[in-house]
Amino acid sequence: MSRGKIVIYSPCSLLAGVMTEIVGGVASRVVCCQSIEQTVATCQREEPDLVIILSIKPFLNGSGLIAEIRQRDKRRPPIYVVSWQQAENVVLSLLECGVDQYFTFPICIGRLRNKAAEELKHRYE
Amino acid sequence: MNSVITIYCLTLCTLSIALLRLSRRRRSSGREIARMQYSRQLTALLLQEPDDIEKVAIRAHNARERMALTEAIYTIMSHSYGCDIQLLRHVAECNHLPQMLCRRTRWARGARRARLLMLQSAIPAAENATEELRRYLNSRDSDVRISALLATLAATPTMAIRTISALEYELSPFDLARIISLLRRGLLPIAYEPLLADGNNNLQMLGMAIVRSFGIEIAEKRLHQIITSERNPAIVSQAIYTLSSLGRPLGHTRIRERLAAMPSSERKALCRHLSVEGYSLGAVRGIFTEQESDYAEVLINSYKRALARS
Amino acid sequence: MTLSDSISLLLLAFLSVATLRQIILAERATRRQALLTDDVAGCCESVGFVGCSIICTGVSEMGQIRDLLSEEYDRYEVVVVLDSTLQSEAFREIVAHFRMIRVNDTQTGELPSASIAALYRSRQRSFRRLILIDRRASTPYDDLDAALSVASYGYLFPIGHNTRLCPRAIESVVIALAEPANSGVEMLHSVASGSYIFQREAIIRRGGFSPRMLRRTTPFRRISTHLPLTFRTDDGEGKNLFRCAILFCVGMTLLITEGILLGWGIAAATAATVGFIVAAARYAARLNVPTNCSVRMRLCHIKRIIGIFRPAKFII
Repeated sequence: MSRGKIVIYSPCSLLAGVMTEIVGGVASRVVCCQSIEQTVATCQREEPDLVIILSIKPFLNGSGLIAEIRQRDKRRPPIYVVSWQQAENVVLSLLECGVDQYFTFPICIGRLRNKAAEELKHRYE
Repeated sequence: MNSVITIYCLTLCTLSIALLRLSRRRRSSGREIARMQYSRQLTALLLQEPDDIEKVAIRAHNARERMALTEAIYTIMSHSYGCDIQLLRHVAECNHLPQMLCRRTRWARGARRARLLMLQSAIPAAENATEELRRYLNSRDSDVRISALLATLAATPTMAIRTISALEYELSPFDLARIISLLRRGLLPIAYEPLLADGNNNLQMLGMAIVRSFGIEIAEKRLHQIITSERNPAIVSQAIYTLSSLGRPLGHTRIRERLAAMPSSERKALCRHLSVEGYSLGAVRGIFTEQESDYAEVLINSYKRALARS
Repeated sequence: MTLSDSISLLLLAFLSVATLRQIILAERATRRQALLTDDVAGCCESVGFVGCSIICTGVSEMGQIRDLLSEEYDRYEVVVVLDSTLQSEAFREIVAHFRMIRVNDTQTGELPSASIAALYRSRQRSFRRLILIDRRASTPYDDLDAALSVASYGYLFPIGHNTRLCPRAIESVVIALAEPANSGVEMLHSVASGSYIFQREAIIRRGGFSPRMLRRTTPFRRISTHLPLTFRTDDGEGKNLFRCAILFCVGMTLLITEGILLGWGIAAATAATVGFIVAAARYAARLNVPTNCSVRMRLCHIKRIIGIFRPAKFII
């Protein structure tokens, strides 16, 4: 039986829907958010086991998304980022911000699903 | 006079009301919802990996739903790799999407035609449609041209080099970036060497774009050869920038000679580029004149903490 | 039908046609951009090594800076110019929030007016695209000159107070400038938003920014787009109401005067034309940014439509 909660942040609702479908089978609950404020509030409320962010904007504009999420959730949920950028400096800056895993588009949907499943399994072991 | 003014006022009032109504309306929200539903259905289907694709039933009942399904397939194809192409092809063929796209493309113009052609790069082309796609390759509209090229490359990947080398126009950097996106989706082979060795400018540019995009450091020798032997200054400049994006040294004698032949504004731009890329002052001094090196020194120093306070 | 009536009606009809033309062109440009933004925008990480530096004057609000930093294009930076003595609080806030440290100044001597008191960059890699300049308050043009002197990229996009970038504006600009046919272009003008992008070296050759710089650019070295690149936000609800009230009073007075002098028929035609321009401005403002309905933005559009009668001036 699938366990765990996943929060997805994506400014594009279509991509959020696709991502929900990818990781939906491995989690008991998936919540999609379209703004940074909504993501922070949802993370506080839901205490997710995995946060997937489909944009690098929150890391570039100083919104402090990761700090906000982790400050209030002491369980330190892992954060995955999926974006088109593959420049070295972008990847390094994301890791410096505290991102646990970075994927670039185009993604292998099966691989992402397995990765999320592994992450949730690891947290519930 | 009064009747003229009345007609004028009435026309403008009607137009104003129409504009105000249009500015309030949300664009194609119905199609957006259908597109979302199809995207989710297709993703679920791809994850299930059904044994018998003939039993797969995703149906679009009208023109709007067919368009939404086409866009959903395009979204999934453009954001993922390694999908079951046969499955998507089956869904497209069941709903007659290739035929619909071909028909619509024929009647559309400008950006609409370009968009339909772009969608064809994800939907397998209908039979004999590649000939029709080739017709748009030399369109006067640059968006139509590049979208047609992408659709042709996706439909006949084995003919990619021949198709690109036959182009009568120069591909822009954005066109190259879009071809690279096809490569990243696994629709085209990543064979940079024949491209770099080819005498065709478009192929060489594409080869260098591949080298940059995938960070292929072993291409350094080939890039040096281009810098040494190429006559086109635009290609030489791209080769130097490609080397710098790989973080390779630029102190080679031949590179220095080619740099010396560049216009001063281009050298200055390269100087700024190298300082942003993190090249050391020593590396920059080796390739630029003293005056340019002094300029570079100021730029490079501006990335270092000021120790002396004024 | 008097001659003055005919001339007035012709002028009004000309304005209406010009407005309609702008709307059609903006609509077409937006449709073209939708082609790029929908899915393929993801592949423009660095289009042909073309880079764009946003140079700001009068920008001190954190929300605006964060908004400008939200662009995902790789070869992009934001240069903010502030006077640390006059706007000390905003200056301290930016330095603290983006973890900035003072670095060595860049006095390259390219422009004499580009004096800098101090230069700041962030210690955090994700904010390296932000550069903060501390300099004594001066004219906006001198601020832009100072920002130019530290800008790393070949194209400069001046941004003023309360101005935000439309979604995918930078990608659209870079794609246009990277076209081989546009290699020598010195200026890109967005007719729809009244914004300009300049080639760095061209500005240096002209001795820096000035209100008259637009006239010095030769027509074949400039390109224009009907795509809105920027939009302006309102200062606040109170100021908006005040602005609308003033405009309404002035407009009504002018209409009544026109009615008395030229006849009520022409006044009605003028009112219909103004109404059409306002509706067109609202439509254009929401074309690219659906949530945008600021009064300021609509005023900018109206000013631009009327601006066809005036010579171009670079105002920030």
